Amino acid sequence: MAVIAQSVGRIRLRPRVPVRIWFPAALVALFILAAILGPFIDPYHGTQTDVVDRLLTPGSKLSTGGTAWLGTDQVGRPMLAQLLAGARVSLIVAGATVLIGGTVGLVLGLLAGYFRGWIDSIIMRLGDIQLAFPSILLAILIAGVLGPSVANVILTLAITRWIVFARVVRASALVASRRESVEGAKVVGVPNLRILRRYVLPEAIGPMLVVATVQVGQMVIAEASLSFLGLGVPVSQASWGSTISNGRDYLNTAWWIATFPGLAMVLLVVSVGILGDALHHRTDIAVSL
Amino acid sequence: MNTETRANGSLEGNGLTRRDFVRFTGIGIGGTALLGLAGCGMTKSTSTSTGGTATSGGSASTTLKAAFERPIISLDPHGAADVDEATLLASRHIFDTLVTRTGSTLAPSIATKWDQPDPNTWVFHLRDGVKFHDGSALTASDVKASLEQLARSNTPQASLWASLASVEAGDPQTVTIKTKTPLGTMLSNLTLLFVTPAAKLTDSSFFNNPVGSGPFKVSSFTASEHLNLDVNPEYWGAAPKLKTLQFPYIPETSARLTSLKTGAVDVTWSIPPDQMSAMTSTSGVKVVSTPSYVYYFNWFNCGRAPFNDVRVRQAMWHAIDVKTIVGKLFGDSAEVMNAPIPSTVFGYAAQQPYDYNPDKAKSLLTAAGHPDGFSTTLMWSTGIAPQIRSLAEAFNTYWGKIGVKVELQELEQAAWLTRLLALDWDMDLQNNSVTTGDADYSLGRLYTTAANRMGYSNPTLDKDLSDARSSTDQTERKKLYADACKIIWNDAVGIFPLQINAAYGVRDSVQGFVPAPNNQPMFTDVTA
Repeated sequence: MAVIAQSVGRIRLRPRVPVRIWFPAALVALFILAAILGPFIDPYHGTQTDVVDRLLTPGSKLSTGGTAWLGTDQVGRPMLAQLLAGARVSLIVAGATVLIGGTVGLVLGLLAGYFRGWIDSIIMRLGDIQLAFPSILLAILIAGVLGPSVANVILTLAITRWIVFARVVRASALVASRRESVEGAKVVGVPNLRILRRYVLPEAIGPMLVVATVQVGQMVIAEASLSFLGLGVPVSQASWGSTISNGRDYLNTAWWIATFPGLAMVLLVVSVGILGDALHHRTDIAVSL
Repeated sequence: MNTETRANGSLEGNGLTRRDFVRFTGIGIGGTALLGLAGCGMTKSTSTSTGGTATSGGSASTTLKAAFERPIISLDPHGAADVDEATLLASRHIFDTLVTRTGSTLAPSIATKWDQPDPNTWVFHLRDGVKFHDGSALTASDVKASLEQLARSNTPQASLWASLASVEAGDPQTVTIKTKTPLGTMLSNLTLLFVTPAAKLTDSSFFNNPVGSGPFKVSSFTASEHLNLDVNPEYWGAAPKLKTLQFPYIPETSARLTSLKTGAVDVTWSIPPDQMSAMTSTSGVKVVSTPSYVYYFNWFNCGRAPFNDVRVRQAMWHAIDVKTIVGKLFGDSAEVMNAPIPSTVFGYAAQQPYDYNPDKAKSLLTAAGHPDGFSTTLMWSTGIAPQIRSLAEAFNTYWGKIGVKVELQELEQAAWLTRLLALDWDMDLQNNSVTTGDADYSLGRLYTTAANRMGYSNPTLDKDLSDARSSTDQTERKKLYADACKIIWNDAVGIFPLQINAAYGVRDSVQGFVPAPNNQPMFTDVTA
């Protein structure tokens, strides 16, 4: 009786796409749009300071006639433009790092999981060494030798992150390689590359995408951390991390300098995280079928 | 399964039972209470260790904590850090000098009296009964060893003693210093000569825990982290009122200012101009400032193109609206400079300011062969001076308007210092303090051809500076330094935008604190 009551209670109409998916997705899309269009609508010039307009509160009028919707920083640069320029840097770095690190990790993970043996050992030990090495030190080294730039940030982060992808792909590849279909293909004489492409890769893509989504959020934070420490983008370029760093002495007086990039980062990373979670649920169901 | 009632009377499946609910609530309340008690206990113990708030009827504490913006990297007063503000501050409390500066006069310290039998000879008579912290007596041989060590070292202070001929310790209480040419700055140089035990000068680890003869002795020191001092009860001079003096290093400005507000430290400096209003409006804290010897400057590497042409340097200066920048960025905390040294220093002479004139700047550039501008770099060290990055960025905007593209390079301290001393830079932005209050310390030390600190070489200037150093006639020295100021200013060896007030944040309970113009206050007469 109680069982029937419970099943009746559970039948309800579900919306096509739940709120917890389309809302974060919309936010992420908004950020991407802002990053693409922003620098055209409200360009940021890192070298255009105007000390007359310094430390203006959000909504104040600039001496050049415009309005500083989100205030100005300590040398008079508008915060809105910095936010948009920083969005571009964050998304480019996160995207490129995940792409490069992901590709390298995918290839190496497939090789390690499929061929096993000494290839697996070498790749995994390399990864262990990498993980044991503090990424901040590597960032300092690269920034010191090559100088700060967006390309160097991507290089630093990709070097330290490929192992995350490689491990996940390797796990899938190990499972997939043991399938009877793969054994059969080997017996028939299908070349290894074809096996990898047709049998193993589809298995690995699912978990890989989930990890990639989570890593995008992580890379946004990592880039901001490096820029906060001065090891990321050069002085004249805006990044959320360097903007927060600029504003950290002014938390009591000009809170808007550090707060808005911080909020933007939180929104972006949390949205990406929720999306990754939703993706995880979907791919999980697919895998277990 | 689901329809069975559970033993505790719950009809739900595996939901929270009443027993579990009570259990968890009890743990929660108990845990919170424990944490609260622990927290109260901790705050009570920290507040007693910092001397507490001044609620208990005005009993002054004997422990004082002071935090300032630079780390103490070394306690060696004759080493590579011998002009570093932090090392000088520590040295003044741990060691003694022959003479000290009080205001604009020089007073006896270890040396009770001195005379000059001839222009190249100075005889100093030392005080009796001065002991080092380990009990050994301070004698003339310690003074001799310390000065010889300093003069032959390859450190920034050594060039002050270029004309030293010999130091003799005739008897334990007399030191005779002979120079090759008369040294007019003998006494002010001696305010930076800290006397260390002769026996320990060869011990490389001595300065990790040094002994001196000063009002405080070292109880614990970790470079770039903290320095703790205890009072020296055997001090020959007036005993300090404090029993313990601590210098923790707090690198983040906001953390340092917050420590002052909460009472975790009692004194801090410098207060950046932008945070000044927040500090003055905080109860329990006051800001004391004084015109200082500290100034900012932007050197040009005069040995490198395009800055080897004086017209280019002058153009760079005319391109900047110094008055607006300094007024907006620093407000009341700084004044626009009109000489290469601050107006508080002996030897200062006002010069003709460079007016803000971008057109003149462009025509100077064209005359020098750069009609379309050029590209160059500017470097500075992170955190070396309040708001230095904003200053660099503001300059950059004005330079961009005359077609000069500048790449801004913010470097970490060690990397910046290496490049600075190797002359591997185009423009260098930094601050400096004329520590002795005498123009020889800055002009005479930095702008000679021999010093080669920015590739500028001018024989007339060299003669002015060496004459001024060797003269003991203060009027004549003033005239010579006035000429030196004019040469350096008109040749635009650097841009000298501002001299900043020394601003100290002090808790209300601190008595007897005197703001020092060189960012190195003394704590011997202070109570917390």
